[in-house]
Amino acid sequence: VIALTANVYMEHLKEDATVGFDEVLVKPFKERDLYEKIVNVLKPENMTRNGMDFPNGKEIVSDESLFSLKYLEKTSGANREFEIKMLELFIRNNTVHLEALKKGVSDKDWDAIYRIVHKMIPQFRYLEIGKTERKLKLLEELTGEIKDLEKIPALVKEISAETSQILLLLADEVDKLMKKNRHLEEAEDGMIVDHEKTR
Amino acid sequence: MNQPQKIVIVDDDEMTLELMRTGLEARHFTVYTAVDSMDAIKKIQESKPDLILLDIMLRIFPELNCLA
Repeated sequence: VIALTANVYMEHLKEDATVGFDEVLVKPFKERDLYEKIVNVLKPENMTRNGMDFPNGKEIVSDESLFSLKYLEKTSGANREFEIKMLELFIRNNTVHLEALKKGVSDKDWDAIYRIVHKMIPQFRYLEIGKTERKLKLLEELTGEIKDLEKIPALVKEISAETSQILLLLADEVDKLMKKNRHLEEAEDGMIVDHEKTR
Repeated sequence: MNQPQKIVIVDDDEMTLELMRTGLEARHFTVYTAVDSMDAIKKIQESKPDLILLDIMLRIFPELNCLA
């Protein structure tokens, strides 16, 4: 059994949390790590190192671009339909998460906020939304350790504003990707028509 | 031809499940996904996987403590 965790600070994990697992994989996983760990655990003869031709890119966290589809592209092998599906999932999930965060603040339910933030962080990492992810990590720390509670409402407000903006940009991105897909299909149809004309 | 190896992924985040599924299916694994512990137990019993990828947060469910 391989353990999946969103916590990059392994020392924060209680020691017994990972006892009994063969391997631990931190989200967001790199394809190479995922495959290597699976090979380590299964050790099948037919899995050779030749199978590991994933690019091992450095993590890109940039403040200049608000998000990046590079990770999705790399993991899906630039499958546009898959990217659209992932972006739609992100938009749907985080629209709900934002409402739940607001409710958490008005109810002063720190545990609820902690659980929501814990679900948001890996999704923000998949789209490399570094700036907001750092704020989410701070919020996770404050609600996890129940400290500096007076800072939480303002922090949630910032996260909500940034995320709302990202959700709009992502909706545009989905439209763009869908248009590209349609153009591609039309181009393919066009080729078939041309081909038939030449007969 | 060897039988493809079976992997069950248990995670409550759909994005994680789908990203892993895509990566592993491209590597010719047969992938089953589960979003909670009851779903996981069902999939594990049905598929008898070679490997399980389990979100550590879900271990708080007593049903899954038997796995580790």
